[in-house]
Amino acid sequence: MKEQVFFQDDAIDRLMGVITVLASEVYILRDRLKAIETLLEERGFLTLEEIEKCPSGLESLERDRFIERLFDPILQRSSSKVEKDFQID
Amino acid sequence: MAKPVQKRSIGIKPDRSAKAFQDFLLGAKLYWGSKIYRALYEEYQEKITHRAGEPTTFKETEEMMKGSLYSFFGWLERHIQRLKYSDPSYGIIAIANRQRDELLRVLDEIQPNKHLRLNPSIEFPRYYKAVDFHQHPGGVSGDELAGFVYEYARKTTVPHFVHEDDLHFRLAKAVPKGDYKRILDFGCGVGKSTYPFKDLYPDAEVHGCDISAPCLKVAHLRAVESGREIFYSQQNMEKTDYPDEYFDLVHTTFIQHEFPLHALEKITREAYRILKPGGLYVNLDFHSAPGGMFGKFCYFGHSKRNNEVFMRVFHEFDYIKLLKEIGFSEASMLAFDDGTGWVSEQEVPKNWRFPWQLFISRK
Repeated sequence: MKEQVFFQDDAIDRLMGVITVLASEVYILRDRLKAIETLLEERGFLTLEEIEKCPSGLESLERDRFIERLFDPILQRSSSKVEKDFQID
Repeated sequence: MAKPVQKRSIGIKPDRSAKAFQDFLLGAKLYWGSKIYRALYEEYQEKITHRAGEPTTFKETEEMMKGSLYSFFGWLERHIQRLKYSDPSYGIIAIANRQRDELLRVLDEIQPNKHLRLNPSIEFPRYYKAVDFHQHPGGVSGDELAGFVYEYARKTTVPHFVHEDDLHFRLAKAVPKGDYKRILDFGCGVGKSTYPFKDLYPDAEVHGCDISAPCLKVAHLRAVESGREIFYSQQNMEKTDYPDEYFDLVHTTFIQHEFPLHALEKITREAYRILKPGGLYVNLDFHSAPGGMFGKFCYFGHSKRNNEVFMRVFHEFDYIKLLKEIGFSEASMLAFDDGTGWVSEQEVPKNWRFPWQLFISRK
């Protein structure tokens, strides 16, 4: 089932989806960064160098999930349904 | 009043990132329901000054409001809700799936008993299966975890700036006091409206029925955890197995607008049948949107944007007339304060809100 369209040019609908997910991801990162900063300030035992050299990072699976979430809105696929004979204008 | 004897054991528990994501959406929704909504109203007022008068239909208003602000308003209303449920990483369904094994173990331990009657062979009406109301993929019966999902999702369904549980207590307090021996929460979902009635009338035999087993299991789980004795059963509201004249009070909470009229009539007749003479039928629901044409425009738009396909039909329907035709001796519709203040019929609410009304009918 195709997703509802709100803008005159539905490219904007798709872009809004992209931007909103990207913005949410930035918000999540800010939340996590604040937690890290708070802990660092309280404990003070992490150095920038340690963070630089830390081998742990995003896995390729996490990267691919992020890319999918970011660009899936372009496909305009609805995740909920109203079957044809129940649809309203 | 019954006091919880145990803290809530298990439910949807987002990790830090998912919690931040849901918080981001809540912030976006509050922004949408206040600043964007108010800007849209300003634009509406501006546009009607250039016309012979206000538009009189939803379609006419939508035509007049065409433009980028209304597009953003609609897009955000639709997609904030979509992302809340369906974001593949942080949507409630994704969170529930990560906890699937743990949540299923809890549900598996819940066996039918005298406080939870389930009917695995129940038939779901076509209108129930065909529409994913409020964009919940698969609806509230489509997955074993749907009750947990719905329970969590409600947090941002209810009005802005009001705690999600407060509304149900407001309902219980708004119902005229009475010597209620048996009370039914008709279409109880996860039981949020059942509990306040049990708390207000601890000696009453309190029941809840719903067609969704996943919701009833969660309702039962929370009742047990909080030490409330409540009898839940899985039934189609159109035809239940309760005896005639069994209840003193039957109440519903925002469910009437989810039915096509043919089902609403059957359900109302069923409520009448199971009520004692003199018993009360109470419905907290949406009807008669305040705010003139602008209010209707937002509300009718919401019905499409949120998959609430029968909302408009109920809004336009003379429900009081039906109640009286069925035999209720009294039936009235009263404005209901959802916690954001009273709104008069012509007043445009400061923030987006549902058009709450309280129907009180006596058999």
